[in-house]
Amino acid sequence: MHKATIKPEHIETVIRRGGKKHSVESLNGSATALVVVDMQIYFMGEGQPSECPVAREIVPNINQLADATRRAGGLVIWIQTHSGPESQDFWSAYYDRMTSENSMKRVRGMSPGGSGFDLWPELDVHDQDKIVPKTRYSAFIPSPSKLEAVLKEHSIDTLLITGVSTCTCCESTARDGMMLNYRTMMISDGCAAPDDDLHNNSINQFYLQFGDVQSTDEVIALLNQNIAAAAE
Amino acid sequence: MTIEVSCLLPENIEKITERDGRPHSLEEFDPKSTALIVIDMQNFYISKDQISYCQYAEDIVPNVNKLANSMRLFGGKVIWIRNITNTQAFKGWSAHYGRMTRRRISTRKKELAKDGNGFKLWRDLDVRKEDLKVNKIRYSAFIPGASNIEKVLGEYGIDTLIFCGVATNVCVESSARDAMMLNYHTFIVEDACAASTIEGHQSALNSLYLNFGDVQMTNQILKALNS
Repeated sequence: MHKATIKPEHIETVIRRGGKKHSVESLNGSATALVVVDMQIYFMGEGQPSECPVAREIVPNINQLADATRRAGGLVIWIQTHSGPESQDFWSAYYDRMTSENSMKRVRGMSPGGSGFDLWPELDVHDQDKIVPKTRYSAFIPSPSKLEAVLKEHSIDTLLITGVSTCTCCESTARDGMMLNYRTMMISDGCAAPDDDLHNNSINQFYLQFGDVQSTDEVIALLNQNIAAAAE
Repeated sequence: MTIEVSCLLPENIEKITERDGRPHSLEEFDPKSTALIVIDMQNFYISKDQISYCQYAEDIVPNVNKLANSMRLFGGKVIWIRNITNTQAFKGWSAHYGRMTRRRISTRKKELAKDGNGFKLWRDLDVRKEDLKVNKIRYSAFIPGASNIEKVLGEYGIDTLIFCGVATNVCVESSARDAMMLNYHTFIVEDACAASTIEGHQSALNSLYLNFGDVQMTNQILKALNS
């Protein structure tokens, strides 16, 4: 697991600007979605081209968050990247930079049915959850995105972002979500990056400018308040 | 802050060289289908008396002007992007304004209004008549609903974007990330961007370089334009 820390000076700045350390102090379960980004074999399996070993370590946290989200009446969304051969054309700005060998490697692994395409087997995916495809780093681009349609259909206004990698697909999805006016939080121990620095830079910058950052335990406590309220 | 040496980490240059076969994949481009995108070089971020003053922003003005001149000379467009806080911007972005004190919101609304002092482009920028100006209501100019930038770029047949401005890790980074995902060839000019901290600036550039676009120095871009 990453040694995740938000710098004290950033907490000070956020308090100065907004009056409090955490902009999200409660969660309305039925309006909350847990968004799990790219927890696919391609980014997680040993020896895979884009292996991020820490991604395997965050699986228990993601499963716990998914369980707490469902129990609070929220929606669990598993984002799955599709990179078929057509992506080399519509996203040439990305693929043209790579050597053709690396470009082909990615398409082979990340095409539907490809060796890295499937969601990681240890993820606890339920029938009531949604599996939503994306074709770029951010699940919100291009517009209109399948993710936004699902969020609208379920009247979701708050996003909890987890997955891999923190600084690329998680951060871009989280930034875009916030700019599309979803109240957005990145989960500090529910995301994984190639190293601690990349992870920490990403969550610190996100916390400063875009949205809240909290840990799995903190978020589960907020989600559980819904269950307590329902029981009263 | 005068930066003459790139902040790209050697291990990141190594990674990209392995992926792309070379450290800078975008070495040649056609200026006629290229635009310099200057992000938020407004008083609100550059003037010392403003709440979002970025201490390093004024230092990049000469490089921004050099890039703009060269871009015009070789037939490209210069587009000045300005942040605006109008009714539309405010009403549709509670995820942003909900994180600010009332006082901060009212200062922002006043300064970044169309007639606000903070809204104006910084006095030392060399803005020409043939340049374009685009207002945006989000950090990224490219997120749906933020601006008409895609329409403008389409009208001029532009497919390559060179980003500079302020702040590296916020509006520049978000705009560049989204632009690259919308399939524009994307450059970010290291020494023509500024953030409020060196750390924020450098981590953003490394992150952009690894996954989103090519990060180069002003001189590299000028050289490529000249060729």
